Amino acid sequence: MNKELINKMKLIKSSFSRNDLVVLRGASNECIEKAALTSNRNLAKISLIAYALHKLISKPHFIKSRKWKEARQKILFSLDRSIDFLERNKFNEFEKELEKLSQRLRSVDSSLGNFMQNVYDKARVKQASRAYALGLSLSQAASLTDSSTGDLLSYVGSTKIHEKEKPFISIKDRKKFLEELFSYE
Amino acid sequence: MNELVFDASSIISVSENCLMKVLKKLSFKAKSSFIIPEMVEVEVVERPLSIKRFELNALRVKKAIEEGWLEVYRDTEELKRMSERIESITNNIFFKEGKPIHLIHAGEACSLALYKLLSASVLVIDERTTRDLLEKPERFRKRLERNYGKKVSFDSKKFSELNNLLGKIRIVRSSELMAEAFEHGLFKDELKEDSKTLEAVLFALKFNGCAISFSEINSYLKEG
Repeated sequence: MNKELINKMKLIKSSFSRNDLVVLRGASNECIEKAALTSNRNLAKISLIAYALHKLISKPHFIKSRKWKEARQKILFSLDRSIDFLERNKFNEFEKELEKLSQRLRSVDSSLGNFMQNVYDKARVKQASRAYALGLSLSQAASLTDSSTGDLLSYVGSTKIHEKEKPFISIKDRKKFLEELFSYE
Repeated sequence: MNELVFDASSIISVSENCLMKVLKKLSFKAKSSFIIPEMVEVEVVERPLSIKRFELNALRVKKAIEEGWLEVYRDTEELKRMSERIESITNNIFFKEGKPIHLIHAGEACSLALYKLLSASVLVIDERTTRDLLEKPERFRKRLERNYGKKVSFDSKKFSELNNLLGKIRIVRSSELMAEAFEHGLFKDELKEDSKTLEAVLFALKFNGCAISFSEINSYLKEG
């Protein structure tokens, strides 16, 4: 697993350093798919970081800001450190560095962004909905990315996830059961 | 008295749409107990109370609990044991490349355990996975295969174990509860009692995450 994490982190670092939105997005999706299958919270976190980075570099007001250069340097430094910890099998330090990196992304967004909900929290919900679409239960998907169940439920409602399959039991039939069950006054 | 066990998704859908009063009326009208396990209370009240965006929703559910018509079943050793057993069985039914896929969270497992312990009449759950897994496991397996693009195997013995443990499980969503409430005039204090109201309520639930499709709602409305 370490080798896979190292390769993913290297891919994320190189694509972030050359502003490659497509690769970052793809890496994020691959990580969440694998995380959903293996219940791997570190992979889920890497997915969120890649997604948040892809969102940051897609916003012109971020990358044109005077503060961006310094923020970008710090993000690259943190990615390098994460890879280094992994390569030296220092797993606890790697996890701490991931946490620091996610905090850093939140703070970059709060100083440069226009929205109340920051890109990292959006990434949590977005990738949790992907895990739910893949087949995890709602609470399992929320737990994997540490997102709120309410936030996830409302996001899922705005997608086409529930449109894709024909119902097995209709509203009418489920309701019929309630009618038979309830004894009204 | 009938007992309906709710999971977090169904309670959130109802409260997000400001339909707690309607749910309360339904519980009295239908002479039924509406119950959540303690773990769901944590998920829909305690945790969201510390998040500004979800505070109001959490307060709505908290009020329902304080009023007593939404009951919280406090954790017991028996519930905990049952919940862990259900979580363990359910998360060892589907396999990809020989490894089990952990599909269900302790929250959903706890609602299922409570349903079993109380021999409840209905499980109210808005999220799709638990419902599909219990009602149509083969179709669910095929969906997993489609989603992952690889073979997903199914342990039928484990599924039988789950079935034997839970027995015949009756599942409804918040949409059916609200449709039932509408039919019995429980919206009349707040909205007009016409088909537009029913349509609006069902779509509002859908847009707040209830696992129901446009076509399901439309065919139900068409059937009248």
